[in-house]
Amino acid sequence: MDQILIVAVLVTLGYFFGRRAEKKHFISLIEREKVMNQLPAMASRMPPQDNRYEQKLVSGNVVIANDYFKTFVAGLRNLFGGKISTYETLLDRGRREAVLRMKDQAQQFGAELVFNVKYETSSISGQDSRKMPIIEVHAYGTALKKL
Amino acid sequence: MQYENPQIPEDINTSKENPLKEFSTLLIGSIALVILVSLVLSVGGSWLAGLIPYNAEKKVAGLYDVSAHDDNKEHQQITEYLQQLADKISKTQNLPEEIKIKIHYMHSDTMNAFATLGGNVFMFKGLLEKLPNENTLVTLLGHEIAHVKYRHPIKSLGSGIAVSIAMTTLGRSADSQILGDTGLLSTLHFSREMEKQSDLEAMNTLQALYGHLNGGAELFRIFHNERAAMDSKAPAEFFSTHPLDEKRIQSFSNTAKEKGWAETGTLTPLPDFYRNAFN
Amino acid sequence: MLISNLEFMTGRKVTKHLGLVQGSSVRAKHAGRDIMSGIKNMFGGELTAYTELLQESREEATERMIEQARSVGANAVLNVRFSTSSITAGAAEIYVYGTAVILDGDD
Repeated sequence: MDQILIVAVLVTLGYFFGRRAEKKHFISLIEREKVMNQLPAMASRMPPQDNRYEQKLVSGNVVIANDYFKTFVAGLRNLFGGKISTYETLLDRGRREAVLRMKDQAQQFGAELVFNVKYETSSISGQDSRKMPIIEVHAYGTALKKL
Repeated sequence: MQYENPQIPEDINTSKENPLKEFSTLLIGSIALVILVSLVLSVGGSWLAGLIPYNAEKKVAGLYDVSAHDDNKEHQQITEYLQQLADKISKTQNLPEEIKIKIHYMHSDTMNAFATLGGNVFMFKGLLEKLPNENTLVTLLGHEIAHVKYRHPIKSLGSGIAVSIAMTTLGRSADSQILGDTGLLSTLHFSREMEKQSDLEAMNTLQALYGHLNGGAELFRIFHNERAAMDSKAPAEFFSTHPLDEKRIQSFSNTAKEKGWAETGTLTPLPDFYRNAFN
Repeated sequence: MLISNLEFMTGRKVTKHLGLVQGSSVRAKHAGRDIMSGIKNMFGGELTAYTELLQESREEATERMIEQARSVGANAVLNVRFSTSSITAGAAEIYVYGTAVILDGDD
């Protein structure tokens, strides 16, 4: 009984705090993206041929944890299978944050374009599904600065 | 060539739906699933375990050296007396030939008596000293022997094992704490059905040996009083298989009326050495 | 040393390919960080300590790759890739690799 109570409290706390944190993060992501869109990032490998550029590898990473509520829902979802919608936002936030940090670096370099952007997503908490999922998203690409 | 990053609209890669909705659906679904699975498994496990030959069960039980050797004369005398009663009851209950009841007297204040694998029946001093007469003692013994007769120990073990295996497997993919706990509940003791079956067998034994049911319900009155006394000290057990003492007391007179058996009759006193041993 | 995950440097020619160079670094999170993050990940959000840890780890791996490239006489590493694998629950390996090349012209 005690354990069920503890889980219930954690799920409730996780829901409220997690949701608040997520909302705040999304607002900040959208705001920063609007600014950073001035520095376009591309997935293509061929940089424009019309200019000579200085190149530099830039990268951004973020480690982000799921809240207890989402983990709990995902655990239940595992019984039935299907779409785990609570993880979608986690991964989305991680990817966007990582790209923003990469662009930050590119901006400091004075770049005007980032090419060949690659993502890497890895689970830090290992393969144990009983552990809280912690993921790292690493985004990297080549920043191009006109010579 | 032009390069730009326009703002991409939200909610394409993420669901708009409130996660609480999914949560409640999943919670209800998984509770239903857990109940269903434990039910199916406990019934299936107990059925399968019932197919285990008694001799195999006895061998397993033999792995534990259950009989603690007791040199005390008085204790031996009580064990002998209980064993004699048990043999008599076994005959009345028509126990299959390969099933042999072995009584173990435990000189301990624990108020308990239980039947376990391999026909081993444990009787504790704490409970024995509270019994007022032989009829009540026979009810108790008859009840425990009936558990052995219907193979309840191995059946409940079977269903418990089946459920706990399933729960550990499930627990790997879900929140193990919650599912683990639900699994535990079903491994506790015998089911109500089993208790009911054994109660009835105990009544049959009483009727066969004494010609009336007097003294039988007394056993559950003792339990009831003891539990009431304990409840004031310790918190009530959440899921007990014995919460229906009153119902069980009632079932004695119900059965008597149904079958036209006498509810009153002379009570057989317990032998003197039995009384003295506890004083 | 020029590092890029493109396959060439704009406006410069590769005069010699020197093959694969690589750097790796395995780091474990320490207990103190783990406990703090444990509390934090009840409620979700970024675990800054880990972000930094992995960043440092990546920098170290890149340093090692550059050292390899330098030792074979390269002046650039092209087509660089990162990979992360979790070895146990507490440790992650960062691996970075690319092609060491000699570019014409001066740096």
